[in-house]
Amino acid sequence: MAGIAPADLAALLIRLVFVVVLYVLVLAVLVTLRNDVLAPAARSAPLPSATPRRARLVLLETAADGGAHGRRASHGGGDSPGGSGSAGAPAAGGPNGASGCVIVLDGSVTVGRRAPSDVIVSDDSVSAKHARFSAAGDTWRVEDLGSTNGTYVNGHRVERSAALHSGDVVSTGMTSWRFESGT
Amino acid sequence: MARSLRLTPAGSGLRRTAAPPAARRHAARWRWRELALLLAAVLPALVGAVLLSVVWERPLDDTRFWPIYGFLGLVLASHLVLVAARFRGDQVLLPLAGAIAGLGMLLVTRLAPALAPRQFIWAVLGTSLMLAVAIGPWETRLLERYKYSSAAAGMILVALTLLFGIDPNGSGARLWLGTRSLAFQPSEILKVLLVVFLAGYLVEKRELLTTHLVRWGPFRLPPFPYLAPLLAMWALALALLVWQRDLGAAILFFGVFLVMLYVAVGQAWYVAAGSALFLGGGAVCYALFAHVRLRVEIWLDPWLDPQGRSYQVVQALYALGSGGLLGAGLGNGYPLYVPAVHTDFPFVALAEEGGLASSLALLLLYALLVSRGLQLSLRARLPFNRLLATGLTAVLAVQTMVIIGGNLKLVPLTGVTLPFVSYGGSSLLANFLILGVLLRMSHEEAELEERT
Repeated sequence: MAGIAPADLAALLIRLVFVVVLYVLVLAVLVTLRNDVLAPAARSAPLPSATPRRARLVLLETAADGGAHGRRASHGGGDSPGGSGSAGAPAAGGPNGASGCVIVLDGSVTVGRRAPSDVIVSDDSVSAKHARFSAAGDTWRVEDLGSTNGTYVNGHRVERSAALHSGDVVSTGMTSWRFESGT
Repeated sequence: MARSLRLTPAGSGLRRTAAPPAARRHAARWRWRELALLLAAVLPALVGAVLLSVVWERPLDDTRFWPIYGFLGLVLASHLVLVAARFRGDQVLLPLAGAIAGLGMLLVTRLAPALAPRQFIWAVLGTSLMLAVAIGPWETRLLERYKYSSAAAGMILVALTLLFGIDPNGSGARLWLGTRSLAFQPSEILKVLLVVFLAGYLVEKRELLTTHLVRWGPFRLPPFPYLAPLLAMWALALALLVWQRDLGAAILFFGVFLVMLYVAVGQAWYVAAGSALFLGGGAVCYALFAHVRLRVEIWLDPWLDPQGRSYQVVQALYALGSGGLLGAGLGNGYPLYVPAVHTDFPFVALAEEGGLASSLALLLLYALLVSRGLQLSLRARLPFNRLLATGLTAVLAVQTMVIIGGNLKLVPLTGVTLPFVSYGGSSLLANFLILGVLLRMSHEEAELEERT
């Protein structure tokens, strides 16, 4: 009864190794996940509230009540490598966070109720593709994209496009924005 | 040039949407973490192959072991492809799934060596599909547009299976489409289609499901038009149960549905009501249909007919019980006494031959895979992507729970597969597809993050 065949001993050892490597894998993954959970605290922290480089839109009111704070994506092209400037800063909103939301304008930005608009507003009075903000030389213009309810600057309907000055109030449907520039 | 963001009325605010595929190419960057984890991930299957070669007294280069080596090579090759494609996404999913699927290849080799080459070919197709989905030029958010198309496709699949389903291996349910030699199980694809539909639908309608409530007797419910699709889901689950005799798919679909509904709407009473509806429907089915009653009776008391209808369950219990802490050793047990062990009971086979230690490790690997999937969903910025990731992860989680629970006699036994492990081509393909979508999503998130 005493002797164990070498093959059996080998098999026993390999069985143990099998279990050990399984748990080594589990541990390795656990460590990776732990590092992942601990490390990206910085990543999920709010982006620094960057000062707008050129111009921005401040949401005044919208029928899409509820939260509207957040950040915006910068884009790959243009002159914002690595992303210092173009991150839109969440401004502290009202109680529901709807007003005060800030959209940084750089390049051309379209507003509408559906993708592929850059800024999507869940407000039924906003057309799917409603308006486009773009810079022509030194001035910013807003262009109506054939919306149903029209685009207004300080209460005047925009026929095709209109120049914007800092402080202008732009309405797209029931949603209105304050245009700010020149910082 | 799309810089998208979204004003949602949901209170969670502006969300960035994924930008289109990167205009600028990144420099190639090695995925060291993935490589390190992969090296640890291939070891269990490799050691298992060595063990089998000792026990079976066959040389290590015996053709029997080729599928295992082939699969491990396949996983490492996938890693190289991801590096070459400048893939930026998650580095943990592939090693985890590779380790689980490696154990699967090992178990199929152990339990049904003749079928292992076939399983390997499915694995080649599966990993290719995963890579194509992970690095292909598309975006996960585009799936949102196809929510109704995928619901329709799913319905067509169900209808086709009801009409033309075949039962190639005598399991008592006609769940396959195709010919006897090459059959395909539509419910595997159906689960992915279902998640796409639910994610799109719930993102669009979750407001209405919580705000516009109307009084229906003592309950406050959403208006009927919004409730109807949810009731349709319930009807679908029961239809699968009654006509297809597919208890596993019914529980899986309805479970995933409840998870996604809860995540989208955030109201527990939907889940409670849904579960009550399902249990009620199940009770009616129990009273009306013999095949449902049989399943439940076998579960409640397998010893009534141990040589007959509950033979499989009883043998599985014996196998489990004989496993002990470290098991009999791979190749030394008698898992083949359990009928259909390579499709329905691979977990039991591992428990018998690898013991509690190995089977717990496998459970942990699943738990880590699921937690990683949920982590990805938390990081996603688009509500649709969040729900999609949650749903796909829930498919893996619920399926694992349902089949392992059935194996352990915690819940009635069902015929769903153990993800990545069970023998079965459709299942392997569908699971690698799920993995591919999760990888793709993590890649899009990482690209976005690098830009900000």
